Amino acid sequence: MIIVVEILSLNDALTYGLKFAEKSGADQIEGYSCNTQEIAINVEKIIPTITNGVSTGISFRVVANSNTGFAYTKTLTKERIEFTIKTALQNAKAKGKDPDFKTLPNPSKKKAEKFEFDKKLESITSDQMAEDLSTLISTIDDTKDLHYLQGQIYLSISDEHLINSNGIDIQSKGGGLGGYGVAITTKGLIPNYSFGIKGSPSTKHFKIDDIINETITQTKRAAGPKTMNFLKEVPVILEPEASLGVLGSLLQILSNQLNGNNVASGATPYSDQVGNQIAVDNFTFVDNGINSSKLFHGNFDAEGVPREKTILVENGILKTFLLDTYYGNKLGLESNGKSTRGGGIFGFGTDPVKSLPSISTNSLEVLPGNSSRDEMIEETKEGFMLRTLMGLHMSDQSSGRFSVTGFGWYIKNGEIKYPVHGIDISGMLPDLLKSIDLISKEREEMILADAPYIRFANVPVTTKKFDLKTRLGLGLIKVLTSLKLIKNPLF
Amino acid sequence: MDEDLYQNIFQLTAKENAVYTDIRDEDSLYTSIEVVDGKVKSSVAGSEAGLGIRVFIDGAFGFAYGAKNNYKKIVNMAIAAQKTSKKLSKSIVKMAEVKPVKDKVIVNQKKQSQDIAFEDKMKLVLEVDKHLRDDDDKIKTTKVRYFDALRRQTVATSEGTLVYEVRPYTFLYMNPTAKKGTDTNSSSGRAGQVGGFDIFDEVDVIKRAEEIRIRAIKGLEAKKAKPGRYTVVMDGTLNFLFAHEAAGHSSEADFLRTAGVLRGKLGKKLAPKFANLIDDGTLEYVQQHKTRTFGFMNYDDEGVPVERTEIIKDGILKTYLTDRSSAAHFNLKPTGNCRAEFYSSTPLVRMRNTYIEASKGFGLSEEEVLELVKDGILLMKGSGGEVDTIRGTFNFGSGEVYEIHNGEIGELRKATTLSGNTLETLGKIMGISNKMDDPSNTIGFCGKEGQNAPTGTGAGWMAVKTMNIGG
Repeated sequence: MIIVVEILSLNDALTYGLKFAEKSGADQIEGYSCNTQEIAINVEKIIPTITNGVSTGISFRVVANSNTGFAYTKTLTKERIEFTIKTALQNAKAKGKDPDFKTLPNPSKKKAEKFEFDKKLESITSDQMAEDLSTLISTIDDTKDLHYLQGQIYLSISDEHLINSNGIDIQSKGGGLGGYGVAITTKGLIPNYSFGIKGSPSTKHFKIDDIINETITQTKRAAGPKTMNFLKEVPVILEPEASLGVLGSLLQILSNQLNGNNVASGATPYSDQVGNQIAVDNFTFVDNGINSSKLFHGNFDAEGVPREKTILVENGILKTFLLDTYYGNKLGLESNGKSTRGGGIFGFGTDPVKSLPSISTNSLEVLPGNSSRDEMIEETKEGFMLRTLMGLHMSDQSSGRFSVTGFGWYIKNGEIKYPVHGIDISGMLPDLLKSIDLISKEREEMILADAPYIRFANVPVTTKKFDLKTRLGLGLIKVLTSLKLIKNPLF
Repeated sequence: MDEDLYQNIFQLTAKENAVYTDIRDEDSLYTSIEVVDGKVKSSVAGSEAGLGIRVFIDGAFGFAYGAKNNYKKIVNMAIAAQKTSKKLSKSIVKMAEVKPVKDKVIVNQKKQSQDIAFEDKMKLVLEVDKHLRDDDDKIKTTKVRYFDALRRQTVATSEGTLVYEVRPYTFLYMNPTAKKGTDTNSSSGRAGQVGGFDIFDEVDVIKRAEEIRIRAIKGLEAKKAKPGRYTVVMDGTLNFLFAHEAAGHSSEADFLRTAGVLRGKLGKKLAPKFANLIDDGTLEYVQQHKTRTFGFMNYDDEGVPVERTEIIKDGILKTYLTDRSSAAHFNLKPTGNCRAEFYSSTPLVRMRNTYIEASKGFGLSEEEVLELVKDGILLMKGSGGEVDTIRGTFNFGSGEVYEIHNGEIGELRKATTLSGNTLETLGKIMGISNKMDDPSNTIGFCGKEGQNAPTGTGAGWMAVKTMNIGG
């Protein structure tokens, strides 16, 4: 016997779920549906991996017993939707009353910014994306001393529908195109690599040449790194990538400490610091949800509150926190539209359907200062400039204590001397924010943030020279590869 | 298992000249609860289902995913992906041969987590949270996360493999933070297994929570270790972290096709002759412990049986960890390390249970490992890590730190981080104990290219000549 199970369309599934939740006794209901199409074109050295995918699902946040329950499903049958709603309700009831819960959001009186979806994204083909990636590969491989390692071009388009029992009903379409390149350089004793990452919600602002140029420039700068023995406190300049880049950035700790969720639980030094000086007076820190050039922008946040540009720290003074409706209520403040589902770029990150709405940043910015990058270097007698940091997720987010390993450059007598591998820095971020002595006028527009160069007056730095055996091994490889007796085994 | 559907798909892809097709058909269940400061912050339940189809034509793969009822569209998308892949290919990808397998494995749960009421799961989490707190209010913040998953997946290949595996995971994470003025100290602990809610009968999580609480408070009162280079002893959790993060990731053959510090080093001596780097998917239980290891599995996500892989044997690099295509690339045999987080995820080479052990006859006791160190640092309770496999550098967290003087454990120091270079550290191993740590406490969710994979497991203490210790 064949049992035919009816699969509902996304809209019908959402409507069915909302009605079923109402019938099942939910006091308030929020339904969310999302259909995401993605194309990922990836080449690791010479091996391509191409993914085409469509992800469809619905989730429900229901209110019962003065608390919320959340559940999702990717299987759009009536039976599975009913099970999902029942689970969400059971979940809400089991949690007990939450005195801090007031309501799901009501339609906002604030006017939301309007953004248009770039329809040209829908006509991009995987062949076009592959052509872009081919250009990136050949350009890098044609550059002296550089070799292509890895790259990706990624396209994502999402149709979302958010509806709640208080009258919020928002349908939106969004998406973006982005990519990255990674190259390795053989110049010097130790091979080194670097990368370029760019992305945009509009086809107009996405140019493969930008990724190519960034990858080549950064990899050339990284060429010929050394290792050295060093153990003292010196000035450290963070490049924009190290302070707000996507691969681990120091100021991400600050944004966590300003997250309403951590503020409400006291897991931050800043809970009672609004109006107080928490950083030097030329430090201004912003989260911008309406910057149309960034991937994370939009009319409304994940629960239907208009997004906005929020000044978190102005001239060193703490102004407010990152808030959604729940934590806004709890802290006696209004939501500033920071609720998100999922997050992440290039397919990295959580599926929005499976993500409970929670507070996150949109696009962070540090406003420019008065120095120039060159002046900052010239004014550093001895120190380091760091571009990437590793191990930030192990930092103590509540205190801001960190100890990370980075890649950067050694500065001596106002000049960059050479790139250095394995630079360990440590400290307490709240103290460092008060020890910033220079901020550059130049800012780098990165994929998710805009940041200047920032110099911290005194940071403990430890680096260690490779032992003799390792150096001799690298030297031997260098000689043999120069004589073309072997191919470099490292890549 | 929907064998008729799989055959339909194989017929469709064969018409497009696919020489190989694999299907991952998933319908999994997930539950998570997070309690912060005694209050349920979030609770999520859900089902994840769909098909991932990979086709292999003319030396190139194409992968696509979507809802099961759209299987024809998914096939077309996979074929389109393959065509794009072929255009970009500069070489022919090959697949190592494997013997097709037909099997159905349901990893049992003595107490099925999915049958436990939400209320009871919350009760447990709240009870644990209570024991992370103290009467003196030194603990300022507590976090407890509960997670269970029932991963139900069929892997079907056009070569005839048809494997259905149900693998349950149950996991609890505890994290109190002590605070005095502006100074804070966090500690963390876990309890997890491949299995069900019965882990909480085997592991006394209340006792574990109390130990973690005491550690957080004591660490707060401790002085910081002075940053610098030290001879260190790592406990089993850090042996696991180093073996996994630094050495293990560096031996993943998919990365190595591109670059990495272990390229070209097969057959070379990388560590002292008494040291072995193991990745073992077959390790179900560790002696004297009744909970299953977190990296235990029967088949990987290409339907290849898992094995115990000796990556480094007696100090010599013997193999890399492989999936079928990277095995063919390096002319190695498939080690059953192909894993994908969901049906929608691209399969990658991932680890299972990874640790460093001493060769037979070379294993030391923990005391003997300590005695190798005159003055140094004992690093315990690993708390996450990160590695750069190309540069060969790593950075780990350690939640409990002691000084070592003349082979004896000395004064407690604050939680810190350690960093180093993978190859140098492997070469500087001084001695290893084979007394395996509790597998329920030495588990992690490894992140790679945006995908998480449950991995283990506890190893023995290990002394290393030099490492950088952070502040």
